[in-house]
Amino acid sequence: MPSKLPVLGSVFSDYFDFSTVSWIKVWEATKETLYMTSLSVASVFFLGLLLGLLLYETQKNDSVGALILYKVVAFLVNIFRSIPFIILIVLLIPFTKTLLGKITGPEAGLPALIFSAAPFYARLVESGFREVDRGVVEAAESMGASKWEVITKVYIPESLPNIISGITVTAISLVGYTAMAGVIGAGGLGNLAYLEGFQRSRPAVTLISTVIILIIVFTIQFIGDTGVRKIDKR
Amino acid sequence: MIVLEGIKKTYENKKGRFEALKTIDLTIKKGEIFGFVGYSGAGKSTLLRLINGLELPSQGTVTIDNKELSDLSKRAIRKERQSIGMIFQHFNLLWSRTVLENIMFPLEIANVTKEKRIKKAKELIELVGLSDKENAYPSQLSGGEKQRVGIARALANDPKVLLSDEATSALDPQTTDEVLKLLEKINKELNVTIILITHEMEVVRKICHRVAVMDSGEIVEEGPVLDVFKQPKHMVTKRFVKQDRKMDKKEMQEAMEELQVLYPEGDMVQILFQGSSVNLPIITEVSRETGVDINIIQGSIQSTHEVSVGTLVVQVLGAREKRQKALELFRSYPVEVEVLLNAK
Ligand SMILES: Nc1ncnc2c1ncn2[C@@H]1O[C@H](COP(=O)(O)OP(=O)(O)OP(=O)(O)O)[C@@H](O)[C@H]1O
Ligand SMILES: [Mg+2]
Repeated sequence: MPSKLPVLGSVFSDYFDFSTVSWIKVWEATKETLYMTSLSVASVFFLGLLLGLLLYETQKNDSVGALILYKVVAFLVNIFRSIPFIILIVLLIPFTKTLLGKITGPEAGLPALIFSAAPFYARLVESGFREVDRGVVEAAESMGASKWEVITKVYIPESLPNIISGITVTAISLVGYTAMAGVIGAGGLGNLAYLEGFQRSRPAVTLISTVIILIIVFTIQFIGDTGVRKIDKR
Repeated sequence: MIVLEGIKKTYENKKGRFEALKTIDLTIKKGEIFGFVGYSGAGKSTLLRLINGLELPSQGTVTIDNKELSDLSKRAIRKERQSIGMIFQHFNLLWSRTVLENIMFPLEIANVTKEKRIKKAKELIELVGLSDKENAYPSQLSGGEKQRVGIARALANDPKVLLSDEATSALDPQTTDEVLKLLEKINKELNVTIILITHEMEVVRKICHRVAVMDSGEIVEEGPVLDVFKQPKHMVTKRFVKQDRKMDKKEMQEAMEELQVLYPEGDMVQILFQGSSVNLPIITEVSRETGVDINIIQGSIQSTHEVSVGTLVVQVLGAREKRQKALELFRSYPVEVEVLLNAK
């Protein structure tokens, strides 16, 4: 079908028609994405660390209370990890509304981002803790370390490469989730690509958004990898 | 002084009950090196964990310097553990810390100030001979060096007792000897009581003062090391002692092979003396009469309760006929002669 070819050619050139791009909006959207990503990564990091610790501690403890707690936490973690993100956002709309009083803007995306990523990260933290040498823990206990000291002086430093690489992977998927959240109305580059790029037929905007997201992802990956390489003395 | 009285330890889990220790009564004196030997699963590690309070006995009491562990609160037991150092088969160092930081670890737990921590850790690094490695990470060290760090770490809080769980089992023979020497030095110079468990009788023979042999949760034999070696009573002890002798033989074999490379022309001869023949000047006479040179490789006297038996391994050097003559002459004495290795 030769008649399609010129059309394809114009589509291609549309992608590079940067005159349609509003750079101010791009900059705003980038800031929003960075804002959502960094806030959610920070919360997921602390929440996931706590949850992971809770999972680990309750699992190795063999009292009934710990067992029940473990089962409950593990169940919730598995549920939230399994719900597709786009559905989770919709599911959480009433919750977000009561919590923040609105369902648009960067903050509105946060609950869903955190609820979906924290369980995932908690599992990574838990498996990192499980890889810590039992012997080293026993050594610390034989020196008279308290439970808290064992956690802060053994488990965390000894699993730090796992903790860091885990948050790197989580942060990257969070960038992806922020784009999805954007489509629902949380702002950011996903929102820009959808509203400006798709609905107003400005492919160049979509392309720019894509490139910026890629840059953000690669930067996170680079920082994470470098960090892990620096601290891993095994 | 450590007193174990009527100790029993039973593990209970879903699969059932398991008696890891059944009736242990034992006193370990201050300043001695006490060894526990036993096969895998005998309950040695369990016993150590009872001594440092990581585990409480199901029955009986553990008393350290008149303090009964089960009377203490959890916090007090943790405090007590700071005066009991422990070293491990797999060293159990933190990979994320340097040598210096690893040694400072128990001092952090004991809330020692940073200045004092560094000072103490450096002293210990000196003591165990690792001065050039203080900023290395464990992954950059050999097994022997790692165990030295382990020992330094165990000594950080000036413990009165050092527990050693198979601390030399992952090391080669030479490194084992070095580590044992270090432990001996620590025992003598710092007057630290050492309790070590091992499955190598050689370790017991080399440094322990007293030994207890364990088998399926019980002490089957106990006493001064020399006595146990001379007259093992229980079957398990006999097996351990025999295994150690075999090791001895293997070492000798290696030594002989080395010597044979150095002096390929010599015969290796073992002479067994009994009772009165111990006093005969056999070596001198054979050497003088046949003109061979004789190197003494190894000699030992073992006393049984009837007679003493001496073993002498010598190397006979010289021309073939001379060596032949020497051998005949040896055989004319009231001794047993065995040619272990012929000249190449
Ligand atoms: N926490 C536990 N729960 C159940 N059984 C245990 C536990 N700890 C040890 N045991 C059992 O107690 C027995 C003695 O174990 P222990 O570790 O003291 O042996 P060991 O003499 O140190 O052996 P090895 O030389 O292999 O280290 C073993 O049969 C072991 O399976
Ligand atoms: Mg053991």
